[in-house]
Amino acid sequence: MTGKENFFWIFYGLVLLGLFLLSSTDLIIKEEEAGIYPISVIVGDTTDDQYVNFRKGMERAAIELNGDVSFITLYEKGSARQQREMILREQEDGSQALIVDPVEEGMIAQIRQESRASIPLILINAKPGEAWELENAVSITFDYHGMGRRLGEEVLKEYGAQERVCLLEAESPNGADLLFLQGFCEAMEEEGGLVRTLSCGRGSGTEAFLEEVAQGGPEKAVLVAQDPEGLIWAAQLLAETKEAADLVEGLYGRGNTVSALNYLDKGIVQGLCVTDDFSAGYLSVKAAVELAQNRVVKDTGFLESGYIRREDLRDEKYEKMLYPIE
Amino acid sequence: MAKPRKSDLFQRVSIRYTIFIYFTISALIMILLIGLSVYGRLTGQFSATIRKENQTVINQVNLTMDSYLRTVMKLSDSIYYGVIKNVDFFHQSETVNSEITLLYDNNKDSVSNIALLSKDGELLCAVPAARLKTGTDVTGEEWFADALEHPENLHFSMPHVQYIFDNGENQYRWVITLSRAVEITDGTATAQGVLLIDMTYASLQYMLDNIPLGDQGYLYLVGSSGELIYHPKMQLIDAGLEKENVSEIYDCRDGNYQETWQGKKRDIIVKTVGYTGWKIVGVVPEQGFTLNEVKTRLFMVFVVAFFLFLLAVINAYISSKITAPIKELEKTVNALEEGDLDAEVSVGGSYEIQHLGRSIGNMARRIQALMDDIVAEHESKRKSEFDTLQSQINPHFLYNTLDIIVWMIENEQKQEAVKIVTALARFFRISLSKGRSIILVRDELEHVRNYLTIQQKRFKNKFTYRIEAGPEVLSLASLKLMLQPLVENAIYHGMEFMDGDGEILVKVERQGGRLCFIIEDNGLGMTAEQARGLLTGETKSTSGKGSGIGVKNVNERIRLYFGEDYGLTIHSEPDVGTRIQIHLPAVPYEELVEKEKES
Repeated sequence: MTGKENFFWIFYGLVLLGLFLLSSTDLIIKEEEAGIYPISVIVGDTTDDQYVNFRKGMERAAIELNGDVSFITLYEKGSARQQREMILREQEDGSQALIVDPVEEGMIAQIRQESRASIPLILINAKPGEAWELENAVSITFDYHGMGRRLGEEVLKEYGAQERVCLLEAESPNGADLLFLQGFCEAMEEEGGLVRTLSCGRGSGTEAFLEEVAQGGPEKAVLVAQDPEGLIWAAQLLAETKEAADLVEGLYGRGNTVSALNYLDKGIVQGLCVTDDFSAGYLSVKAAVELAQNRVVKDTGFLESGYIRREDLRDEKYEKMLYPIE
Repeated sequence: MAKPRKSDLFQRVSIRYTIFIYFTISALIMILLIGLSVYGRLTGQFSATIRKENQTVINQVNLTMDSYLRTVMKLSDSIYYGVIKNVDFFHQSETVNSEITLLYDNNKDSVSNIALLSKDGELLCAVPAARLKTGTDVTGEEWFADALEHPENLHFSMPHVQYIFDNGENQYRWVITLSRAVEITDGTATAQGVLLIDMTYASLQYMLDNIPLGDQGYLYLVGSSGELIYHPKMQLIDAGLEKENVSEIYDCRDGNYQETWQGKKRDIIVKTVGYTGWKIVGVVPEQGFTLNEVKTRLFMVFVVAFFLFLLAVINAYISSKITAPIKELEKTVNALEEGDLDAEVSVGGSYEIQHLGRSIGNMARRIQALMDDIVAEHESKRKSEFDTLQSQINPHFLYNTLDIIVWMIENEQKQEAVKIVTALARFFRISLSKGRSIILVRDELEHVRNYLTIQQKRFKNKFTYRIEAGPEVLSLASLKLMLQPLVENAIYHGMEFMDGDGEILVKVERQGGRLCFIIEDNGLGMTAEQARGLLTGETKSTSGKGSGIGVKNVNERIRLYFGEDYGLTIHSEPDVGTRIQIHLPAVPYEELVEKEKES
């Protein structure tokens, strides 16, 4: 055989070998492996009561995208120290992405700077700008400020700018609570509405609380809770205590829990700002997996939220948003 | 640059490659045709099988769904016709309740609530025990209104959260409500009411989840008005995170359809569930039932390439087997072309090639014979030409010589006459030399001496001559009658018209492997042009009085006999003289005679 013939047969043999490796082995073209992505979700609360729908969305995404999701609560509500420890622990334990509901603004940036870690991070219920400043991080959040404004407008529409709107502040307000309150106060101030902040919180006892509410004057008060826990506490109080019900004409706040919705259905809560937590949970895990796969994640902007009254509960749109099918 | 034409390309390619290329291209075309047809057939069958299986699965799901709905409808019938109808409800409410409870217990996996409501929306009976939420008006519910509006039918609602019961739980349940109008007996009076059975949505999900439809297929359930009842991604669709092409599908009748949705082709199977008018829709992406995966395609290419490789190897073997004898034959023809007519002609391969080989062999032999004939003919011609040249002795020379002899005898110069006659006799004896072309140098010198003796007398001693030759050259071979024409030329051209005494020198010497004869005269000489003319025949060597064998003929004879390396050279100058050199190979006489005899 001539040199050219030898070259031809060797070349053909190599082509065959290449085709065989391409078509029948995983050496070159790898089958898509169903990789499992450990993802840790660290919230700022001691229970998952406020994250029921969020978890449903999260679990749905975990099933679809092979996420192994650990949902971690704190021992002490709103403890930045504990949350920081949890974040560091999960980073070290091999989480491929973290979903964090930060208890303090700027805390995450500080932890990142100190630990020099850059595992994918999804911030929920934080200011969108907080994620922009971080590397390999995205924000999944709602327009809490807008929700607060909407609630303010609704209260003003219902009761006018009278000095009987009492604000029940959150015990350990997180970023979302602060934004919500800020929006609410802005809306009230713009229309000259006065908001009386109650100094007696949930820990002060029912009597002290009712006493302070009654100080507002002869007219019934309108209560606005800054956080979902405060709303449930107040609704429970109104449901169980006749004196409280006699003092309060309306209760408003935000929250998605079945309890909150039941109170709305029963007429104890008059207006509720609600969020699509299922989508937030789903998109958080989806973004976490995509970042873990080194893919680019599109900014979702603010997710859907709304203000509902009792009659809106049967609305098909809110029915599916607030009572997600598992 | 102009591209070479296809025909030119093939002209430069060997027959082996041509056969190989044509065979391989044919094989490739065949493999591709077979491969494509088999691939198409397999893909078609595979797709048909998958479609059939999917259709079977959908039919099975439809049967299950139908059976499930019939079970619930039978439950409704049992409650109505077996428990409520014709029973004084208000007096036997406990019995009714316990019987409904029994039926509920038997179906509680799929039933969430059973309730009997009056026409005004009052809850008459509920299993499990529950009360209506405060302020709830069920008469406004769609399922309630439908039941009273069409009392002859059973009504299935769309999935919804059941709000009406206050069960004190912080939970919610998605249900599908089956409602019907019932007749409630109170003593002798009857009133209309509504029987409600809440089917758990989870039981529906359980039936429809994880149904295998190809690789990535799924199914969903659409209501008769096009609302989604079940979809594996129902919540995401409602939230706007996913989409489904429901609007176009729910109008379709039962059957198989193909559509392109979000840029991807997919098969759609539609099957209507009896009574409800709901539609089960199976969705199978195209890649779930075709062999279009990248690796599968590459494998097909590999199979084609592999078979082509095998065929190419076989083709290479066959083409070399066919062309090897042709190649051998080509080598033989090349050898013949280069003059080797004795080259062995290879005869092998197929009949035609063997025949060709034999023909070429015969042709070579015939060429050899013809060439032998030509050589023999040429030799014969050369010999006859040589003989002709040798025999060209001018009769005039003989007449003049005899005239001198006569003159000498008349003038009583008997001794001189005897001498001339003797010289003439010897001259002719050597001229004949038994017909041989080759004689001893000694004899050739003797011959020229006799000639000079005769001519000296003829020209009245107008010239003198000398012959010089060493003993080592005398026994070497010389061409016969070689010197005489040259000496004749020296006498007639150089001496005849000369005023003074002429001198002719004939000298023989050996120069290495060559024998050199020198004929030198001091005659009139000639120009270089005349000297060249002597060799070409343009200048006449003699004035017609000599022996008639010209210088040109001597030169030709030498070359004819000994080859082109030998022959004459002439150096002459007008009024100075002429020097002619003859070069021959220095060969012993016997050796050459032997060779002549052999030839």
